[in-house]
Amino acid sequence: MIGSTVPERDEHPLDDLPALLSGELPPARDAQVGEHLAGCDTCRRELAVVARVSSWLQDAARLPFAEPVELPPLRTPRARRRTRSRRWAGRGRPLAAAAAAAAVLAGGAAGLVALLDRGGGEQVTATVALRPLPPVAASGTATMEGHGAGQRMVVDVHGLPAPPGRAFYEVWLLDPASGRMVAVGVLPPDGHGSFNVPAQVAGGYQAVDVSLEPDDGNPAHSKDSVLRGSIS
Amino acid sequence: METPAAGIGARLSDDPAALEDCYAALGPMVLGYLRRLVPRDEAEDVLQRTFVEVWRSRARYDPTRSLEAWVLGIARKRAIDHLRRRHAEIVPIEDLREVAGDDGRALADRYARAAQVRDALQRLPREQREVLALAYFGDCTQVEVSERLGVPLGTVKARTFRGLRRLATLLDVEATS
Repeated sequence: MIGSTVPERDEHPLDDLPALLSGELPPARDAQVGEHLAGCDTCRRELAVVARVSSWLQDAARLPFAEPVELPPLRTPRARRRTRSRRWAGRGRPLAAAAAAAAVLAGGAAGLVALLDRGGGEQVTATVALRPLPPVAASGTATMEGHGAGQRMVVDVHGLPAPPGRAFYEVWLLDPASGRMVAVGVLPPDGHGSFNVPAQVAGGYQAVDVSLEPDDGNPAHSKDSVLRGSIS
Repeated sequence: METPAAGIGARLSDDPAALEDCYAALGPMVLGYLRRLVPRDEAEDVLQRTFVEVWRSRARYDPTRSLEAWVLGIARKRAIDHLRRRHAEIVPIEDLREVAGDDGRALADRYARAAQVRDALQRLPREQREVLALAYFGDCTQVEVSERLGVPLGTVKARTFRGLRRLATLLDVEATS
């Protein structure tokens, strides 16, 4: 059995072990950690634990699971019919909503408002109007502030219902044409969030999207979009 | 590890609604698995047969064992039946050997563990889950995770280690080493 308690982090380079495994440590640090490991049974045991979990995570990411929306209705004769699970029922409807939103975006109905300059100092380079996707009734803006690597996106949303259970709202950058998207961050419960979005990243996307995400550990977009707006 | 699937398994024998919960919880995994074994456009039929048998065989399920592994075992048998029925026409015999042999069992084991890993990931604190999801499911380096989340690299390193260590506890890695 590998040690059940985690040793003191000040004495052992524990936080570097994942990067050591993935080859991300700079050469000098890699050598230091390797030297420590050579004389430390504790860290070698910790490395074994981390390596095993890491390999399982890699395998879990590599094995394809079907998308929930691909699942056909269950045809089991004696099963009591009832509303499909909240997660999957919730992900079926938004596909239509997302398609409608893509049509809206193609028409350019939502979009860039203006180049503004807030008197407070941080230069606002663009403000995007976020439009609700039925049946959600809410509104909001996504504002780009600053430049280059220091660019931030400030999202303000009003009128969203409280997410059910442990679900949460997440902000995304989206390219509707290709379907590419990247998670920007979790929108705080008060509807106001500020996210670091370097300009070189934001430049590859044409829309801002807010989705309702179940707390299921699945990092992919739930396809349950509630707000969206076009950057250009 | 006590997983959400284990809770469903405990209800399977006497609660008809548990079958639909089982389908909702494990369906994406089983369909993904079956698509590795049979032609993609036929996998959904085998999926349906699998869950029909899950329902019919529910009295034989031992709630102390992994529900994922039990359902995947049924899925594998149904995939073998499916390939046997059509192999005289078009399925190379090697395909059937792979599904029926050790390779097929190993793949089922991998899928069962992947489902448990995803469940465990869901139970981590958000900060830890976020960095692990970006690193392993988003193929981001720690530096890229740091930039994406706008937190120092040292914080990403600490959250990554703590998250992996917490996963190890949830997945009983220590007991299996």
